[in-house]
Amino acid sequence: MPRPKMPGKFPSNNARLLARLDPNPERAQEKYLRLYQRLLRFFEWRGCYHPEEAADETLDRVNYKLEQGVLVPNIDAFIMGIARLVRLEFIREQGRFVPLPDENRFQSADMINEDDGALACLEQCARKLPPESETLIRRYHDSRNSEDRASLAVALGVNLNVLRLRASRIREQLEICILMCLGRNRRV
Amino acid sequence: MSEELPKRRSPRKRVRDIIGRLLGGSPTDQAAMLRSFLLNVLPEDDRVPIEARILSDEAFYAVVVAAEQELLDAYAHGELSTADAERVAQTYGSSPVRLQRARVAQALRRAWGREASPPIQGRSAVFGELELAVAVRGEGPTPEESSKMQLIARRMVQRAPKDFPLSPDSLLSEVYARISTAKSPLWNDRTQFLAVAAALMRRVIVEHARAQGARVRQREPAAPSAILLGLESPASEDFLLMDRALNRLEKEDPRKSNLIELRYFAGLTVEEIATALNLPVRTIKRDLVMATAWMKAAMARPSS
Repeated sequence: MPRPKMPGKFPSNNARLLARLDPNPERAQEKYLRLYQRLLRFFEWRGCYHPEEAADETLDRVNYKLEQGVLVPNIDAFIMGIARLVRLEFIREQGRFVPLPDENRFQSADMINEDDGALACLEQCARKLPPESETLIRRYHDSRNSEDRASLAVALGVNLNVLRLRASRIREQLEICILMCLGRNRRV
Repeated sequence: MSEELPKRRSPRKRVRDIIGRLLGGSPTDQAAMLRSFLLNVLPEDDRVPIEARILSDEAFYAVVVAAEQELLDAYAHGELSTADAERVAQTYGSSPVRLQRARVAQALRRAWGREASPPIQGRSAVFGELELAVAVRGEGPTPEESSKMQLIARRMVQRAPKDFPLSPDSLLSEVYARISTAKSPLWNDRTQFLAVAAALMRRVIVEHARAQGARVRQREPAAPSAILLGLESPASEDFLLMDRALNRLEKEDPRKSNLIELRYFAGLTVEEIATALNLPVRTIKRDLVMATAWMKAAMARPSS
């Protein structure tokens, strides 16, 4: 689906926003990336069809407002307010909340039997993880029920919640890699 | 799944209510609320405080991401009710990115679930276990440290008594077993990581020497310098002699004992030790001279 033109596109150099996030440029970049990740998920969880574009648009607009000298006492609340507006615009003007055709709907039987592309990408991406992360994520998913995971946590000397969140962070990295891998394969 | 909250609350009270349930509710309550959020069945007004918190609180964001992964895993394993499974299919089928996340969950189930857990390919499974134990304690080795651990194991085995039967990989496996069964973490910060691993390896070798029935013999030991420098592979008796001297040094000066262990048992260079212990090279060199002299004297006069 081609990207429709948005009215009032703002400059992509977000220097003012970076400075607002942190005076130290390196820390500002890190905070910016983490903020971008969270915005992506916000749009994704809202069913937005193109979360990257919506997140870019949001951050561009926030930067523009800061350049205009708008007083922003709470930057998080301000960004969230802009993100909500962007989402409404995307849905209203571009019809971005588009259900996929029925044949592409998520059907478990199809997934189980036919989605070998994801399996290949999973193995490929797992091998790119640091060895300790790869082992942890494999072991975590191998011990499926809560008792097994509790035993694993005890054996490793951490509590279950720490283990759960650590496995989740590794899985996020893995997911990013798999999504890119699936995208590449689809283009080939 | 959808948890209907009381209607006609003021916005401020509604936000307080939601945050209270997220922060103070039972884990089951929180999980149910996050599932409702992820499946888009939470009333619009109730989503607002959750989304605001996702943006402002990274720890909370991580919790929601983990909840999403668990929801998709439960779907992939057929553990959801029919109604919830249908909601997942509807919600995740309506967005390409979410659809792909669901595919990842399915792939994980097929590849690494209980039904299929292939061995780790192209890596030592034994060493993977050690890395795992280290990683979950928050001090995972970098790739550089990982290769250093293997190097230390190789050097330890080279400097072990002639009849030491374990390979470097088996030695690492034994060390892993000790780390994983320890009741408390064996190190407090990253700089101790290599030192602790080296000490554990030495302990394994000493125990083996003892198990061989070796006793410190009543004769002149082999030249201490030759043993310390690894020029001569020691007999079990000499290895135990060196171990006893090192234990005595540990009681007098733990840091110097640590240096001897890393330099002469683990075979690290002075620069590598300085990096591992986060100390200046000059300090390491000075302390090593003193510690080596002490060791030679102690090994030459084992009864003193």
